[in-house]
Amino acid sequence: MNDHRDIDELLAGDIGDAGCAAGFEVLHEYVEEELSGGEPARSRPGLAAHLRSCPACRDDYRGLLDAARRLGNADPFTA
Amino acid sequence: MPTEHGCGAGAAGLGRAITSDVSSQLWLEGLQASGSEHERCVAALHALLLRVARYEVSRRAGSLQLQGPELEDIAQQASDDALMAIRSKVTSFRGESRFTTWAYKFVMFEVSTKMGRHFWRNRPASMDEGSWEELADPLAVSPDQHSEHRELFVALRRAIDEDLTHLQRRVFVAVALNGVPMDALARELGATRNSVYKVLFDARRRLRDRLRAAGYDWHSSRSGSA
Repeated sequence: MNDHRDIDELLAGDIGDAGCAAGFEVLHEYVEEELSGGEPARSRPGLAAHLRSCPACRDDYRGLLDAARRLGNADPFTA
Repeated sequence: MPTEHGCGAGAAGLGRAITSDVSSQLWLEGLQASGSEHERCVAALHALLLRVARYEVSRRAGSLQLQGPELEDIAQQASDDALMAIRSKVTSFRGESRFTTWAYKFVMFEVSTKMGRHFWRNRPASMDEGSWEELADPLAVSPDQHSEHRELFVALRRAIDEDLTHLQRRVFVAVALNGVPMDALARELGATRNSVYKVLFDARRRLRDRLRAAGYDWHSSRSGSA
């Protein structure tokens, strides 16, 4: 077990958690809004709640945010 | 927005997707074109997806104890399958984000799935069973907090034993305690990530309810449904 986990993380759960499948459908929009300086946690609270509780989707979110930040503007001629 | 050097059918033939950025429009035109323009666009997209997949696999590799050729295989497979998914779904892209952000989402999904498959090669199967005895001495807390935390975790252990179903216990122990990736466990169970998460969500709620009923309190006071 990871010693850094605390009881909140072990038992995390939130009202309105969107779940993995519904969250995946709009994950790109969430990331795009964040990169545009918006507050996706406010506009999409269900996904924000899910990302706090689901380690797998949180990992996807972090990877997508990073990829979109680094390579978001690539086009077929510069890729 | 019109494009300056579209590769193929042109925006007029695309119809549904509404994009406000030139790069996205170029991708959409190229993917829905035909002939060599289409092939060039697909090749460029695959190269980009592979680049993203390699980076992402590398980012996650440390925590999963994977290395070398195994990582490159995962990146190749993930980019291949992501490309297939993107090509089959491109007509459903509505321009809610840049095309690349939408496309990279499929890379993340495929990397997660592929790494979940490889996870068990380097791990004991017991990680998704009852190996959680360390829970009684769990956290780095100050000495004055130790007694209180220990009592809470003893109660938590009891709740895990007594209040969870076999499946809930297996999922909670594997994911929350032992850090098994949900996609790896989903594969073991023949289930989806979403269904594993639902079991985890219900297990956590049951444990929270039990602890609160026993008079324990901690910072998190939220509950609900997944």
